[in-house]
Amino acid sequence: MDPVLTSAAGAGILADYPRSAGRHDAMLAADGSVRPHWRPLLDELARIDGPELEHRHRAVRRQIRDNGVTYNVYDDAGGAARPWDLDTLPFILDGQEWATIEAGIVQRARLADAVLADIYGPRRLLETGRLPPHLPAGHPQFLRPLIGVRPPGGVHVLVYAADLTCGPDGTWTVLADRVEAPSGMGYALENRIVVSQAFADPFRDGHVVRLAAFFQAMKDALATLLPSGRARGVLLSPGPHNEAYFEHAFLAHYLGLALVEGDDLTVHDGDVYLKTLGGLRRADLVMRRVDSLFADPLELKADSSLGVPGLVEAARAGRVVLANPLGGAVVEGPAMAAFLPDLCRTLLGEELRLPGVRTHWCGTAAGRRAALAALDRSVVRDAFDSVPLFARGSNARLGIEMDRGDRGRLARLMERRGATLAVQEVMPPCLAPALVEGRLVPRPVALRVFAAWTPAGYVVLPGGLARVGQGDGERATLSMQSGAASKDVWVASGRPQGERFTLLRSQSEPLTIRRGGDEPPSRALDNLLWLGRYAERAEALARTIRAVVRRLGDDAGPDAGGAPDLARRLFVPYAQASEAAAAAAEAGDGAALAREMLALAADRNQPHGLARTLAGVRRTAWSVRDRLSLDHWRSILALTEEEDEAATDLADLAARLDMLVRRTAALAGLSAENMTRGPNWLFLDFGRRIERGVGATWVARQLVGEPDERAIERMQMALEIADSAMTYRFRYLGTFQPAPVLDLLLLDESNPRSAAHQVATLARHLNELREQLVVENDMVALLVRLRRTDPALLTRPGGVGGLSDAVAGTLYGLSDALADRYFRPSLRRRTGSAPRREGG
Amino acid sequence: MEYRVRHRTTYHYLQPVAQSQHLLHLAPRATPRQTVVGTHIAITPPPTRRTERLDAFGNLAEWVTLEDPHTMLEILAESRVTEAARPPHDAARSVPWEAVRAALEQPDGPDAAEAVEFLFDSPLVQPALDLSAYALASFPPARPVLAGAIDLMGRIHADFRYDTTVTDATTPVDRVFEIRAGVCQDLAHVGIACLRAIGIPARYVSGYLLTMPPPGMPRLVGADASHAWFAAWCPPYGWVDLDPTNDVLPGTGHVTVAWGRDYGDVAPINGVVVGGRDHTIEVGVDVAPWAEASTES
Repeated sequence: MDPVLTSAAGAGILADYPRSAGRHDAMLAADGSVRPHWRPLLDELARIDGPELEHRHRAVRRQIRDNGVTYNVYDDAGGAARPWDLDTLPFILDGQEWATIEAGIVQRARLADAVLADIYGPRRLLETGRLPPHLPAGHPQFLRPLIGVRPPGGVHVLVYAADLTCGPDGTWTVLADRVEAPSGMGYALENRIVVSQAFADPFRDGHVVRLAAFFQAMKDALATLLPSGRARGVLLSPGPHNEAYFEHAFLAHYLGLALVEGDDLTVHDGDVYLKTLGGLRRADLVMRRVDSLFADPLELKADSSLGVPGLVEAARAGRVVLANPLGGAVVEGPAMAAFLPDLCRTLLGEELRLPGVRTHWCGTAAGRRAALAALDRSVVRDAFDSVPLFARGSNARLGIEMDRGDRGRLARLMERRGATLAVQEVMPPCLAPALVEGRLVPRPVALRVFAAWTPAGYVVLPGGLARVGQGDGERATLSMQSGAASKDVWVASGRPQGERFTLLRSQSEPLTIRRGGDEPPSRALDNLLWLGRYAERAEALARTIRAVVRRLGDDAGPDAGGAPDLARRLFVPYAQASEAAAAAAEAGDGAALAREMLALAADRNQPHGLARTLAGVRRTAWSVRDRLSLDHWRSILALTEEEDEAATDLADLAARLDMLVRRTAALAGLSAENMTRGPNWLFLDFGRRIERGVGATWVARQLVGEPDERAIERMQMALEIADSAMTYRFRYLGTFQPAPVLDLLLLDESNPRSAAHQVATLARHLNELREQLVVENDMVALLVRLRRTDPALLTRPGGVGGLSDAVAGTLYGLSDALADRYFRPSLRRRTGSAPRREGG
Repeated sequence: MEYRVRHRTTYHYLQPVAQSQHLLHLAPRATPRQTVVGTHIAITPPPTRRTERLDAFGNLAEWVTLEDPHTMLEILAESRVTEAARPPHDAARSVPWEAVRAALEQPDGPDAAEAVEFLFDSPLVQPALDLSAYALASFPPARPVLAGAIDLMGRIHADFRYDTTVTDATTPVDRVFEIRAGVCQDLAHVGIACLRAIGIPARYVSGYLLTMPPPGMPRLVGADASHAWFAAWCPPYGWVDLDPTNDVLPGTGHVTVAWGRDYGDVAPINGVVVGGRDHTIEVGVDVAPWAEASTES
């Protein structure tokens, strides 16, 4: 391409891009020229046209959605998961700039580690007055039970992160250190996967440094701390409601860790165990995403339901690697930031390479004077608060917004409790172009950069997570929890990068061949069982509604054919479906019935309607996201996607139900064909078979046997709902009689939709469990009974009913027995000292 | 005075408990005026593991794990302690309270540095209300800190009603302050919150009262259960105990078990059990002069 043309086009795209005085712009130098490392990207933007850019933007959004990348934002009403907000344009750093940041991050990680080692160890900094005792003492997450506890290898910081931005003078400045349980590296990786595809050419031409080696180094390093040398690791997550649950599932999968919640773990004699199907399994690496304070209800926050009682005791015993060890938050927060330059000199004998924001701790008279003098260009913060500025939950106040009365109150509070306050000078974040409606617009940006410990020193993830502020000015919010968007961060090395390397694929070391070996936490199996049940129930419900709808005309008047009869039989006694549908059917009112069918399909207020059942599919699948393949997950997303608008007429509804039935079939097919036959699949199939077996007997008893003028239509419908119409037609052509229909629905083991087929399969599954459950005998007895049943006898009064009850009873009994044995790890409770409380 | 302290806690569970873990603060610690001759803690059924350690505040703590199913758990702590009279501090000669606060900005010596531990909000004492206005009525400018603390104790005793029915173990200090009522634990928390609000360190003390007072002395409130009070940092005397429930400076009738930032640090028994469903707890506390107690049983 003609270089002149290229730069001319580039100028076009930049024509509207404002230069911001007094701010650092990552893309534009002070003279307005484009920084060289942004060239490849801008050339690409100039080369492609508007529609192409829009196309890529949409592709990025689609991929984010298809991969199920979400971030639950607390601000949202209901706190629902929402798609991860990723700006298509990356944030680009050149190699030199990056080298400065990298060296500074490594130093800060070392410093944080050294400070923690002292605070929880010999406390020399406190004895010598280098650090006022107020700093640990006042920090709400200074965990006294951890004093004197030396983590494995003596390493207090295994994973470190810092938030930083670039000041107007081009100095990268740290806004906050993150040591507690830094989040974001999984999102950074996901961003990279998506954005490097959207801009493959500039990614290659800019020689962007790849990320995977960092994760490998981190994983290898953690293994060196374990006596076994091989991590039997878990990722401890607060659970599916946490805002970053996607990342927990993603990282667990990427790093080969079991995703667990507090209830999945137990501590015996200082060792941590994972509760699995086969019993307790040692876990010697816990990647911790539950904050320290919540990690042990026995010794830390007593009302925490997220933790593991005894985890502190396990930390004391020193046989489990916690990443990070407990209690690191004490080095986070503005007060500590004020002391870091001095601590760096004391502990490392070095000057702090990356400065922090200028901070005045108000615990001394000198600090208070400096703080009040700087008030106009500062924020007043809790000295120990590490919540991002102006994020939800932050109580930071801008100095310039405080009037005389406020300032008087502040000065008095400083006198009384100065140690709890810090005044921090405002740092205007640097700017970078974001894509807004097809145009480049400067937006405030902060980076989160990650480091991991290795025996040879800390290594830094070459890239990170850029967060794009929503507003600008002093109150620019850069917190993901408050709705900031994100960007991929590219380090343009200027040198060609080696072959693509990923943790998920090539690894040099030859592996021992293993089959099985996956030990899912019992909780995961519970969710898989319910995923199977909900998915099957959704299909049955869709087929049933569809069968009724097909028999209702659009203009269904009082005489709506057999539909009310069918609906009455299927929904009336099935009280859990819909009472209104039942009433409409009872009254024989076709129009009302049509409305109810629409509601039963789409109304989320119907407790047992289709929409809620699909929500159950989504919820349980989300809870075991790490155990499902991407294709599997995508098919669940497709199945459970909420419609923008509900169906308004029966034709529309029927079409949607058709689609839904196809999608449930696709999901079932994926499970059957693509899941390894291990415990995950077994429990998913348990759920599916239980639900299908009960469904088959339900349809048989409600629709087959009663000899009246609609008997044939009902039998046809039963076969249709049970997806057995084709088989029946092959065998019996057009003649419908109860005995052969019942045989096909209930007794014929060769029919994969029959009750007998489910029972036979479940009996085999039970045999695969390592221990024998009592219910296995019931299942075998039921199978024998089904095999011995003469179809002709089922047509006698009470015949179908008796058998249906036996099948449903045994199958539900199985569901309960599995729950009792494997999933209900009897609730944990706290006990106090006195009936009501201490007396006195 | 020498006493026998007996503290029995019995749990009955509706269903078997599969595993239980407890953290006990039941063994009295030695203090300048308290000597501990010995403590014996008997646990039935026998635990799988017992580990004794000092906690971060120097209290004697015990970690107990039971891994055999049980429907009953009894913990009986018996101690023999000797109480000396409290030292006769002259409140008027303690340091003016503002000077106490100022001195702690750069604490001189380990005791003052340790007092800083008790200057800040803690899990159960983090009032949203500004209690400094209430506190300052007891602390006019330059008042000696102990005189102010004693005045504050008296005001809490007068302003707050002792009532065992209006709060529970999780009632926040703000709520206690609003309703002006509670039990010893609440009143101690109020005292602590007030002192910390004006920059004076305060800690929570858990202990017991002599069950039957000597002849001619009134029986104190809270004598048949665990008791609690607070202590204020009052240089040059150091920590001074104050019992707002009874408006007294604890003397020979108060037995100290442990101290911390608030009740949560020193709860006599903190436990997590797996299973058990509902449970009932019975608690009995008896503090008697050793001579009487040893003849009676």
